[in-house]
Amino acid sequence: MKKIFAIAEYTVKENIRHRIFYTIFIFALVVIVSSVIFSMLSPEEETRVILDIGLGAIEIFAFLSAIFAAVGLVLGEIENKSVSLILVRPVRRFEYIWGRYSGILSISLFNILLMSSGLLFLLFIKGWKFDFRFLLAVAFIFLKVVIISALAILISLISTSAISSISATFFLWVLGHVTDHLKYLNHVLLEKGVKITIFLKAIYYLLPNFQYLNVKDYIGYPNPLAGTTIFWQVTYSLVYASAATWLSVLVFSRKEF
Amino acid sequence: MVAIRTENLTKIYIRKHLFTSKKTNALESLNLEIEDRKVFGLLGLNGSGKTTLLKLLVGLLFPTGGFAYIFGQRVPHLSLLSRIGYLPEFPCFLMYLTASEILHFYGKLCGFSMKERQKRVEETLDLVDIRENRNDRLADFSKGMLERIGLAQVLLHDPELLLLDEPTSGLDPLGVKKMRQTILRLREEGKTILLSSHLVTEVERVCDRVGILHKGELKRVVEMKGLEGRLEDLFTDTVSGNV
Repeated sequence: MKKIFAIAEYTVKENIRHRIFYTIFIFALVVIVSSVIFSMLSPEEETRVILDIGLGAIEIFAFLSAIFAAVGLVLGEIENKSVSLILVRPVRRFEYIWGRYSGILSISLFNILLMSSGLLFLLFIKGWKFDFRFLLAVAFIFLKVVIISALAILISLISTSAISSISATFFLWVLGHVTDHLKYLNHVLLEKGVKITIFLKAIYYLLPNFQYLNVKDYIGYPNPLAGTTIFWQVTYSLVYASAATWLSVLVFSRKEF
Repeated sequence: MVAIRTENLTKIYIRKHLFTSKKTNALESLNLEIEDRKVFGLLGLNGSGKTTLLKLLVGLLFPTGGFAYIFGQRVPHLSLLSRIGYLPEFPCFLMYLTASEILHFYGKLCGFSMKERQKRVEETLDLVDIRENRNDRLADFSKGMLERIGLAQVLLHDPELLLLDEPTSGLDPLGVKKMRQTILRLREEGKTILLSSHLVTEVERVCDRVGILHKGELKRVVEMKGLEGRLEDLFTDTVSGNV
């Protein structure tokens, strides 16, 4: 556990010294603050607009920060061979992967909390009445990052270049938001006599279902969020991310340097 | 006592392309014994299998066949790694950390307590003469300074066995001399050293025994004490097939 913590700490240190980290962070703050300008377009729903743009920006920039950290640090370390000086010490390969992953999640959580604080501050200035589902929405943005970071590490270990890793992770992120459409596609295809249900089902279950975690859509509307639903959403995220990370460990254990 | 022993150690690299694959025999049935508290030099041309052997010993590569043992334990073994110091030919670090931070990080991975780590990092920085630059980022270091950090990470945990891959590669004459002195001092301290090089003069100055590797095969092992003739001639004759 100490070694996982040491690798996580080192990941955080490296990440906060990376220029891209600040670029993404500053850009996110600019977008969040500029949501005030957009809110002027609809004065009766001012806070709603700030909330939607703000949470959207937090999600996108948390995703970007996680993907660059996962691909840049893991793939970068493999490509420049600096990983070999870690692995020649008494460190198990699973400790390396979980350490890197924990570090990326720590920095993502810090990012999300900081951006959310900025957004909350803006909302309070505009007289927003606090809705606890805001906190849930932020927590679920983090859960999405938990999943996509695990996938980004896995893809980095399989692919050969940063560009292909980033593209593949981005592709998964987009697909993960439209997996529900696969059910509709299956229905349409069946009506036309095309039977690829098993194939579509396999894709549906393999891909991450990010739409399932979109709690931010609930804020400001009366529909409640059941406790059991939240429980299953959290369980789904943790199981999916753990499975992806252990798969990364498996791939990494077979790698030669 | 035997520090390193290999039994028919073999490594074949398989490079897969779209429809084809290419096999390269990097190491073929290597049988070698290296005594402890001695300096053993692996001499060979580029691509002779020197780096492959070192990487197999530290578990960065997996053997295709055969076995390797270090201090009687079969490689790879996690507990062995705290007794080994490995210097790659081109040591690479993550450049956003400072000299002191990277050594502290490696110290943590070796399981040192904070107090012990503090002490060892300070000692090692002194040893490689880099104390003044301890808080500089590695990105600002020259090649020679990075080599010194490379040596520092080898010495940090005071290993019994040192595996040095081309330790003088890329160093200036002063750096080469210092590295030679360090190797000789470590030998005096009773460390076992396995170093690889293609520079005959460097090998003959510091080694007790030399193994000549050629195309993945150990052609011969030479005892430096009492060697008649020049090692360079023996080496060139061996790799050109005259012996």
